[in-house]
Amino acid sequence: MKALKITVCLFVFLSFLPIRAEDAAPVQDIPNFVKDGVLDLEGAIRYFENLYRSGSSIGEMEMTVTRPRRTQTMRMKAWTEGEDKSLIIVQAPPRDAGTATLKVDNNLWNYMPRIKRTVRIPPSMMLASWMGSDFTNDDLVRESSIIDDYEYKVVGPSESPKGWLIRCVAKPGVVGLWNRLDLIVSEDGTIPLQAMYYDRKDRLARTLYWSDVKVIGGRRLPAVMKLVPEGEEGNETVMHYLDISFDVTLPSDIFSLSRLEQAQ
Amino acid sequence: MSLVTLRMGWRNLGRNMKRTLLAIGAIALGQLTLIVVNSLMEGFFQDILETVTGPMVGHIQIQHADWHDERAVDLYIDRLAETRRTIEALPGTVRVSPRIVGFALTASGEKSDSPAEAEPGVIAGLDIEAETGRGGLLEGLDRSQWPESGEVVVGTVLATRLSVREGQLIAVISQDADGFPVSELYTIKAIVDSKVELIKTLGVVMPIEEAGTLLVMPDQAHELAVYGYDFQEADTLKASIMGIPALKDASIKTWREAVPEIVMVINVKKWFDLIFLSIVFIAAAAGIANTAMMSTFERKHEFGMLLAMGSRPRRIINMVVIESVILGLIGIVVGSIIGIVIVMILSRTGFNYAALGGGDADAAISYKEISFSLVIYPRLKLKQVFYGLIAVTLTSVLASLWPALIAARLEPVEAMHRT
Amino acid sequence: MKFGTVLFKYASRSLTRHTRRTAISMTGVGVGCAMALIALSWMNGAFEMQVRAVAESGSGHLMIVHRDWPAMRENTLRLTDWEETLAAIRTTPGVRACTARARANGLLAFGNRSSGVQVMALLPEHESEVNRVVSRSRIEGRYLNEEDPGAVVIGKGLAKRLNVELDDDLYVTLPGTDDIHSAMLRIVGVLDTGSQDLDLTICHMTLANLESITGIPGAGEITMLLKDHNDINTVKERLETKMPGNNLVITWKTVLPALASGMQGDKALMRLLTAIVITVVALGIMSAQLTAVLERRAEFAILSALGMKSGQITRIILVESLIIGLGGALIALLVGGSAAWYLASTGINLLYFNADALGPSNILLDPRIYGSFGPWLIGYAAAISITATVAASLYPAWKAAQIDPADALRTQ
Repeated sequence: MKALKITVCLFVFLSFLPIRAEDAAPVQDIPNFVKDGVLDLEGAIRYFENLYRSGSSIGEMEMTVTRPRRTQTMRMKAWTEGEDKSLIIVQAPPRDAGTATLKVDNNLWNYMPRIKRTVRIPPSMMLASWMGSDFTNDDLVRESSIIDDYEYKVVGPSESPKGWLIRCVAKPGVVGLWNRLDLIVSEDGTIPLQAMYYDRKDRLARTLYWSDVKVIGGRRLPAVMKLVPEGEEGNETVMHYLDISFDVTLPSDIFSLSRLEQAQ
Repeated sequence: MSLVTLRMGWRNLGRNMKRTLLAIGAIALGQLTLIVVNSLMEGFFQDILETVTGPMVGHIQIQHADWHDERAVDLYIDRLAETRRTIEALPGTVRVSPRIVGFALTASGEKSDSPAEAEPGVIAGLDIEAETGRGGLLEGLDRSQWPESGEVVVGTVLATRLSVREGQLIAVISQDADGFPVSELYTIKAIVDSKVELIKTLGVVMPIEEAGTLLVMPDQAHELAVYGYDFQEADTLKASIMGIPALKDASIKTWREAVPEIVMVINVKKWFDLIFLSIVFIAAAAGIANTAMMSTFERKHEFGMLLAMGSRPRRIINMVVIESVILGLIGIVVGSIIGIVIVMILSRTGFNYAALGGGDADAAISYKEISFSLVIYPRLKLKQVFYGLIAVTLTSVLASLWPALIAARLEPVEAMHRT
Repeated sequence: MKFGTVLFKYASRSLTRHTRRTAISMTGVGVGCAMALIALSWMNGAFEMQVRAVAESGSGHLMIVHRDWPAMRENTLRLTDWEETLAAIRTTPGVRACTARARANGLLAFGNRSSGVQVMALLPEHESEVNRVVSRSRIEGRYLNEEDPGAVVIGKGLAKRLNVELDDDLYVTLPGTDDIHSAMLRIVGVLDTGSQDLDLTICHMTLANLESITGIPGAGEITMLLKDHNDINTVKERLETKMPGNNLVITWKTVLPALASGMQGDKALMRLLTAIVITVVALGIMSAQLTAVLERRAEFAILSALGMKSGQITRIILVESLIIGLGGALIALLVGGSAAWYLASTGINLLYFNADALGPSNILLDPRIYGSFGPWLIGYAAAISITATVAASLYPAWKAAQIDPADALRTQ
């Protein structure tokens, strides 16, 4: 069961999570989850959950954070292994280059080259912004799976954007900030288009948009993901995947504090 | 009132030195108590008020309307330079002190092998020159310890937690006004024990320009502390500041509105001490009255003699009253001198309220982010000496008038008859 | 004995001969002492109230903590065998109530909002016996039950900051030994302490709940209230003999040193002022008695010529002063006693000055301060009045004994 876990928000950081080889979705044959005008819900959800998953991966991405006064773009590189380990290092702009985040299990460390120090993120900072984006540190460590944590059902076809609306409601006793997740997938059920997060009082808290479907690392998936928080005018975060290699061999010591500080 | 009466009164006092001395002693002790206790109270309240209206809130506090609830770094007063100039141009303004406040994680900046345990801290970007002056957040900080570019002053408690010393590096990790992560290393210029709890326990103090650079707030501030000529006049100043168009959405509060709880606490304490002081006064008055009455009654036969010799009753009353007044004045002078000397000594050494009860000599009471030192530096006000003078003189005159009136009304023979 | 009767008769006769002087002296002493009594009544009452408020606001009269706690104040420290220790304390004489707690620095979140908070994990039934923050606050919903997994009670201010209500589910993040744990907690109650600042800090859950979330077992502190706070040192010594392992007994003064010294300082200053008041009064008495002695020089000279020893003359004066002292004590009781009774029955309403019930260092004060009233007033009145009067009369009495009969009669 553990292997099936995925962090919903972690689509951003992709493939932090392991996958059994048979669950992987190779690009060669694109499935279609609609038969006779009805969405195969189980199939679509499983495909969605496994879309970015891999036993290990190396990825490159560009994150653009927009704020009312200014916009900042960062290029970063990410290494992941299994569901518990990941390392993200900022490569550009020069001012931020070398800034790194290491995740091992539930712990997060940040390395900042300007102060040449590694700092462990305390619990009180877990919901603070990660790298200035609209994602929180908690989004990086929190593991949740639609299959395990939510009761889901197809509400029906969606008009804007065109596709299927899947409503996921948190199962009783599930630990997490969200009460409900409305997911819209493409008409064939293979590509996520939009996800709306509702808080425990069922108020819309943030919306995630996927776009720009491409073949990356041998998989067909959206290369751009945009997070827009509710009630914060002018704020959004766009994550653009430039390249991903799935199932690669990583140096054994990459997820260590010493690597966190050396890696540039 | 003739000079003779005055001379007689004076001589009478000299005739019974012991009694005179006792009476003077009682009066002096009463006056001394009033002066010392009043000065201590005055010192204590002045200290609190000056802490509140000085480093903490200033006379007027200007902030973004939502700052009080959220304290988010992006809730600032914009176009700082221009706004500041406008406020400074107001007739009642003495100075304007802008402040930047940002929540941060801090760690020792010194090299070590293990990752740093981060401690929460608060970045305070201040006008160092203004804040080191009287009533400032860094009051009394030596010029050689002023933080300059790339330097900070750290609160004692935070420094202890991070185990950093002067001259070492401190790492500050925060978010700028747009929410982007920032981090910087600073040299610790000094470690300070501020009266403001927040600075003492969490403070990383730097020049406002430095904080502005770090948090990307070149022309913004979270708080403007405005100082007028007198903190009691804050309401007038507030009215004129509210007329500035750029601040029409901002929260503008006088110190009384900003910290009503402290104003209340001061009122309660003042009231209680006033009650106690009146108790001291009544008791002292009883002692003085006792002495005055006693000495007058006792000389009844002497007054009878004077009456028999043809003195008018009025003259006797005058004489007694003059005696009392002289006695009272000498007592007050003696009491005032000793009292003033004690106050002067205490105002230099400080009166340790905590140690008085056998407590920790360094203790301080903290309330709403301010810690009040329990070491009191009494402040002498001339009006206290004056009040004592009036009250003591009045008491002794009234206390001796009654027996004097009785004596003056007596038949000479009856009065001379010793009972 | 025979002389004693004579002595007393003589003294009272000379006092009644000078009714006015006696009355003035007695009134002087009486008023001075009455003032001292009022001050003491007020001071004792306020002191008792503050100790009670401090003790009942969480810190208790005595606390059991880990021996490293006073220096480190680290809330991950845990007691040795807390359950046994708690049971042992419960049966210790002098203890009124006690409870155990653990604290943890965590984060509460709901949707896009979050707030750092110190979580207090406790034994609900015992907590309400010990903590007025729980027993006196208004509560919306209910307080925690003994077995209440997944339930949390938060302060009104915190609820406002997180924009949540009763029955909402909070997302809580807490540190474990080496990692971070999260859980969902249902808000079953919202506490309104009457103090906005305190309301912002309240987050209570059961001890078992915290243990299961963080995986760190045990309690970090045991707090107890005593039947009488004056027994604090006795009970402390009693407990120290049965503390296992790392457990350390501390008083509330260790937890809140500044408050303790401030209160001690208040007490000491009051005493100092009272002493000054009494000295001023005593000087008046001394002056009066000296007058009385000098006035009666001839009388004492005759007594002395008739063979009365100087010691006996001294005693006459002292007995006179004793009577004045007793009279003063009666007046003091009358004036000071009724004022103290007023203070004790009506009290002074603090809310008149301060709308927020919070005192320094997050202590929930009583809204009213009551003076102390009791039999101790009689003892104090007598002691202060008689001591002051007799002490003030020592010099006049000695003076009277020094009178040389021949000299005195001649100058007369």
